[in-house]
Amino acid sequence: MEFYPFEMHTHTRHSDGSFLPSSLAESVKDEGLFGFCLTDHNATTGNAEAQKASEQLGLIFLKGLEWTTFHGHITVLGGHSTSDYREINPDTVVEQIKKIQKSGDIAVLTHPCRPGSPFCSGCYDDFNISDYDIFDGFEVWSSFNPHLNTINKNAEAKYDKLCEKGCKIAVMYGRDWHGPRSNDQLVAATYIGLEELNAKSVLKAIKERRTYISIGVRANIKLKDSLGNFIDLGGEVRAGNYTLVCRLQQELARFAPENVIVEKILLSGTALEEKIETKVSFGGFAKFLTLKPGFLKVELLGKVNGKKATLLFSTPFFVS
Amino acid sequence: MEVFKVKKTLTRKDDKKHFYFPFVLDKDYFELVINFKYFPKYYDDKEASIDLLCAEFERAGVCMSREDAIKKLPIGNLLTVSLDGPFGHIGNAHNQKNDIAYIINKEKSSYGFLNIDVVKGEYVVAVSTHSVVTDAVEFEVIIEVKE
Repeated sequence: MEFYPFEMHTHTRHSDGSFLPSSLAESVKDEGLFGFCLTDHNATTGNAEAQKASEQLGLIFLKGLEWTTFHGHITVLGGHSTSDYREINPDTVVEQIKKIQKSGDIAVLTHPCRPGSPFCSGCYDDFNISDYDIFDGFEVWSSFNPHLNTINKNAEAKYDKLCEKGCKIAVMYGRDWHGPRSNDQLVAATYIGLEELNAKSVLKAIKERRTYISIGVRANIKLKDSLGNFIDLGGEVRAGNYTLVCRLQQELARFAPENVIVEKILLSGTALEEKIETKVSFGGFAKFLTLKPGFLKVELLGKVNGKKATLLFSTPFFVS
Repeated sequence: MEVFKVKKTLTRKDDKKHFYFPFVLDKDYFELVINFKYFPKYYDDKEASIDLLCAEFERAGVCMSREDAIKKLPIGNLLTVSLDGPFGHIGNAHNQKNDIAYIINKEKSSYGFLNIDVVKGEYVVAVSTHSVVTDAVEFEVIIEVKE
């Protein structure tokens, strides 16, 4: 199974973006992404134009919107449900998420650690949800230059804590793409492991947690068990012995920065007795591991344009 | 032709609320226009703005220097408008514009709003206060229709 780069958090003039839906689709194509979801603030009126443009450009397109509430933002991906963002608050959000999921859509908690009003109204996660497993996705990275962003480091830590509590949620990156970017605004992508190249497969993949987020690296990361079976990211395995198998390539699509150096792989999580940090470079990598119940996360460390950065952050493998 | 008008002054206590205003159209029309404005948009107290920004960044666990806070000025109010009609939700305008007219008709409505027939019946225009940072903010909604 291959993983493909997508952008799942975008805006047009149908809310506060500067793109037309068609020009957003052209930008997605131009940057070499495989597809995108349109997530205007509390609006779906741009979806038809975006879908038409995507079909003409050969892109995978998902309808969606961003619930932009007073208590946090959530993207609803799929376009099968209807909802009223004005009814979403800490008392009703879980019920509303279940409702959209029942219709076949998925819910992604966006930029949960971004400061809220007066900087970004409602951006910070103030839903006070007791069980984050309700979410299908968690935007660990957000915005431009995600590798340099302190806010994203806080989101990484929050995500790790949720995994320690037993939550199983797909990691996502959201550019929160409102308009054309300048050369110094570097971006990552959400890589999604697809069985087929269509929107339905994208939704299924996120529900099954086959994602990683990366700036500049395209990877294939699997666990191989003693019988030779391969398990993808986000998968659930039993405690025991496995080989972690990675294939690492530089992302050459236009959206990715050019000057990327991979230096180390960092394996962490409660499935390991202790963290493992090993030198690595583009190419193949394999590591024998004994996993106990918990989660195993894979990160790549290196440099982007000479600055130290986390290049890749995976949805973990979950070990029972 | 004006069919509905509301003007209201809000304070910081009205932050994060939805205000609903029902009105009725007595017959079908070609077009409906929502004239929406609110003032002030920006908070002109620089020091208070810096304090508010720094407090929110601290709450979020992010260090912010005074110099970084100054770069993020001005801060402002954010009010948005939405419309529901006889057949359900018509649309929502979530953007930073504070003096604008939104057009709804069958052919080409403003961004964020469906292309619909403007039919006789009960409507609700809502104003949502995503952020009220000034001591007071006044908004006005005027609904006009065209035959």
